Parts: sequence; structure tokens; C-alpha cells
Amino acid sequence: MGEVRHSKFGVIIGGLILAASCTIEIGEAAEAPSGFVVTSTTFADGGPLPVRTAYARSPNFPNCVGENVSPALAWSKPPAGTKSYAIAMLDLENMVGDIGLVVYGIPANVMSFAEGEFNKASPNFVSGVGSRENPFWRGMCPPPGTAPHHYVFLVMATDLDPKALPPGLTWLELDGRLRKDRHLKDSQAIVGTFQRPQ
Amino acid sequence: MSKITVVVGLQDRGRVVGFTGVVAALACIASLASGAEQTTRLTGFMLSSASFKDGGLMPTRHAAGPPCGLNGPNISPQLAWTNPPAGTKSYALIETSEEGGAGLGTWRNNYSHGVGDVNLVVYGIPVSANAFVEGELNQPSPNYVSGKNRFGQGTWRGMCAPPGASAPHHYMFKMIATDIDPKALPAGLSFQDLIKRLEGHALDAAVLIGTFANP
Repeated sequence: MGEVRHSKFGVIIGGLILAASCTIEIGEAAEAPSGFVVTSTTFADGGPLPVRTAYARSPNFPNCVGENVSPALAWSKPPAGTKSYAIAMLDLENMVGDIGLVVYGIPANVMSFAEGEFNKASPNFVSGVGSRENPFWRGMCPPPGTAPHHYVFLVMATDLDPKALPPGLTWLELDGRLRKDRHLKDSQAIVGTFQRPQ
Repeated sequence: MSKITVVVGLQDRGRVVGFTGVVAALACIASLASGAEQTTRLTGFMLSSASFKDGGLMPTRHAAGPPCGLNGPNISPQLAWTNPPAGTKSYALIETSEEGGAGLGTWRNNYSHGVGDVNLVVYGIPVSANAFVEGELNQPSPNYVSGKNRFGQGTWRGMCAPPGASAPHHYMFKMIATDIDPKALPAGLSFQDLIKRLEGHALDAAVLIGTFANP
């Protein structure tokens, strides 16, 4: 029950952050032109993520089935003027998203990450925090009996210096920093699916 | 964070716990803590399409017309859904572009998991409906109530990916099973208004991804 109490507290804080960061903006017409491409050697866009990338089973997480290895990601043709990248991984079925990864401050010359590279600290990225306040990869763990969930990996090209943002930002905080001040030049998604083996 | 509640609930117990709070968070409501906890068995709720396969390219006939530099006839795709959770009385459907908003995620800050543009908002879909045929979302129908997309439109607004993009853009269809009467909500709700109204009434969601590249 301690877990639940903590969650409730988290809900309050989360709500305040959400409320504080609420802005509505209507205007842009079409989607941005760019040649920005994101790929993975671990999974195909729209295809299943391998079990090894799912979160690992433990007494607290009996429904999880994987090894929690972060997938490989690579990108090319960023927009001109890109100085750093940010990446977030979100579970689209979970309404507000179960956020498995928030990293940023990736220098412009770094355009790929190997499997497992988001499992530990690296000079190539600054850690934010995911849904479980996780600084590193926190793999998928959908409940049993559900249809495949969809996990979007958003790679965002920014004009921010790689050292501009402090560590520990949540997805909403990061999004606010990137979007509000127009530091986000373009973003490109790749989507993987995962269903717990029955 | 509110997501913690969801993760604990959905992932580790196979239940929806604190879903009220989750929906409230979507609408940027500060009073999340008031959300009562629910316990709902998940059922394998699933959304699919005969027009395209999950994660695959959507045909050009679903794309928007000339304003996008496209000749798309803007026909809404076929959609079908199965295994709604127990207690479902109506559905709501949204369609968003992950890369939209000039890459700036127009709505992203209000919808904390990365969507860009909101292209379709409909709801009040009776539980007796389990599919839309192609084109059904192009004109008013007794099978849904029109909300407003980011352009103020209440019907299908097709894909508008920019020409010359090397990679396809991703379009998310999200069907939300709710426990509210199909006639409960007024027409014309924005995405945000809808999510606010669904606070405490969303039972589960199913997602389908289509991609599109402007040839």
C-alpha cells in the first residue's frame, strides 16, 4: 500500500506541474518539412520490440518478462542548425503515457546509440526522468491479456547547446523547455509494439 | 507523477488504478488527487483497420486535399474495434500526428505523451457500434458526435505530411472506451474539453498507428 500512497502524492505533484505547464497554441498549418529519419536495428518501425528490451521480472514486477536492454536507435538528415537531440519513449495506450525514457543534451555529432547504451550513464546524453523517476531505460511491461501496446520513440532535434538543460527533467518539463522557447526544430518518431507473451 | 499510478496499475497488477487521475492529467487539471481509484479488468480491447495495417502506410485516399499540396480525396479509413472492457457505454476516438505541429507539437504540452496535431475528435459512439466504414467519418452520422479538431472541424481531416520528408509521419488512432451514455456530451468539444469530460469515465484505450509520406 506504500506504493499506492506514494502514487497518490505523485498524482498531486504531477497535476500541479501539468497545470503550470498548460498552454494552448493554435496556428501552425502543415507538418514541418524535413528529411529527418529515425531507424533502429533492434526493431522495424511499426513492428514488435524484442522481448530482451522489455522490463525484467522481479518480485515487485511479476508481469514483466524481459531483460531491460535499451534498443538501438540511429538517425540521419537532421535539420540545419541542430545542436543537440532529445529522446523520449512513451507508451501510447496508457493515456498520459508510461514514459520509459527521457534523455537530452545529446551532442549533434552523436547520431546513434547501440543496444544497452541507455542502460547506464554516458557522456553522450543527460538523463531526465521517466514515469518511475528512472534516469535510464525502463522497458515495456504491459499487463497480461491486453492487445499489443504501441511505444513511440520521439527523436527531437533542438538548437540548444548540449549542456543547456539540467539533468532530471520530466517529459513535460523537457517538452516545455524545448517547445515554449522554440528550441525544437523538428521531431521524428519510430513506433514499436509489445505484447506480453501469454 | 500521475504516470506512476498508471504504471503500477496497468503494468504490474493488470488493473486500471487511479485512471481518474490519469484522464485528469491529460486535461491539465490540478485537482487530480480527488480522482477515486477504480479497478477494472483489462480485456484485450483492440482497434484495427481494413484500410491499412497497424504500423503500415496509409493509402493516399485518406490524405488531405490541396491545402497540403496533396490531391488526397480525404476519405476516412475503415476502423473496427473488439473486446471492449465490461461496463463500456460509449467510445471516443481521437487521431493525432506524432510529428505534427511543424515539429513543434502544437498540442504536446497539453497531452503529455508526445502527440503533435489533433486531427480528429469524435465521441458518443454507441457501444452497439463496432466499426466505421470508409468515409463514415466524413459526414455527420448517428454513430458519433463531432468534436473539434485543431482546425475547428468535426469530421475527418486527412494526413498532411510535408513533401520531401524522407521518413513517413506517424498517425495515432486512439479509441477510448468510456462508461458514459452516448448522448451525455454536447457536440463541438475540443480535444481538451473532451478529455476533461472523460475524467473518471475512461475504462481503457486501444491504439492503432498508420504512417504516411507525401510522395
